Amino acid sequence: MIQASKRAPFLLLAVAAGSLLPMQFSINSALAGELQSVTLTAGLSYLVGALALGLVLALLRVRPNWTAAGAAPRWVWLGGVVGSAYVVGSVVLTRLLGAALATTLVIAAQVLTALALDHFGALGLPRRTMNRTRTLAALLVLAALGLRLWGLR
Amino acid sequence: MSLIALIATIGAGIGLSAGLAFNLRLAAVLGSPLIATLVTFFVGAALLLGLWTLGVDSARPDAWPPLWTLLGGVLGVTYVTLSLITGARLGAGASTVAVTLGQVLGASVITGLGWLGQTAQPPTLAGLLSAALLLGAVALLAADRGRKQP
Repeated sequence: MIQASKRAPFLLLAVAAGSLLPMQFSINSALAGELQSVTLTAGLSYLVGALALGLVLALLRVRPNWTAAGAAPRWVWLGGVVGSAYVVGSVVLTRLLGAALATTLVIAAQVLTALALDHFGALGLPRRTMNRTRTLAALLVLAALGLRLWGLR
Repeated sequence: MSLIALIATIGAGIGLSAGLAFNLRLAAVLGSPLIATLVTFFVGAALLLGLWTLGVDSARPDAWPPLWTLLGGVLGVTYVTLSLITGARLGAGASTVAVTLGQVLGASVITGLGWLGQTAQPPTLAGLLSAALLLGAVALLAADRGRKQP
């Protein structure tokens, strides 16, 4: 573990990284407004991101291990398929509800899904069954959703 | 909340959580999380542009969109790269909580000020409380994931 003074810049960097996500929601939502198609919007967003990352990796001369990759189970390649549900879902939500509410809903759904995947040890994750801490986390998420959707009345 | 919003929420949440699990496995196989991200982005682009070509939500725009609206994916890969760096330095737990803090703060500022094409909506007390509860939930999950398995 590194010292607290050396951790601070990385904590700030992580906060900055997180703030990129609602920016991405908003920008993709603006693109969907221009194009009037969610599939084209999410596809172009992925393509531009892939080209940018490919350029950086080529400049850094990063080489993947394709031989080991060939021996892996086929399903590991399909992350982009479930990832597409995330991009399409976030575009639709941001168009309907705005970036603030869309962000809340996605974080809530993400935590609940993570709890379920851990509980069953799905997708090669280590199995971690529900306990008191995890139940409390789920309850906090539900309370957060309730507050967001119905407010303080 | 409408049915479309509900389906979109569930799709986005499952897509994000399951997508992370897929990416972890692919990164272990390829020996690089960034190459895994590159594969994921190309597969996503191929699937979605394929669906669009086949006629799913297939509106054909007649004008080129403003350049800034095309940069969402660049923010996506920047996010993945930064979160890999901070995750390695801070541990996954602390990094995840800080990222979530950035998410809710960023969302409040962008929506509050009406940036990036959003309709300005001032933050509400209920919205801020809700964000705090979510942060608490993320912190609890991160703490429990960080604990040694019995």
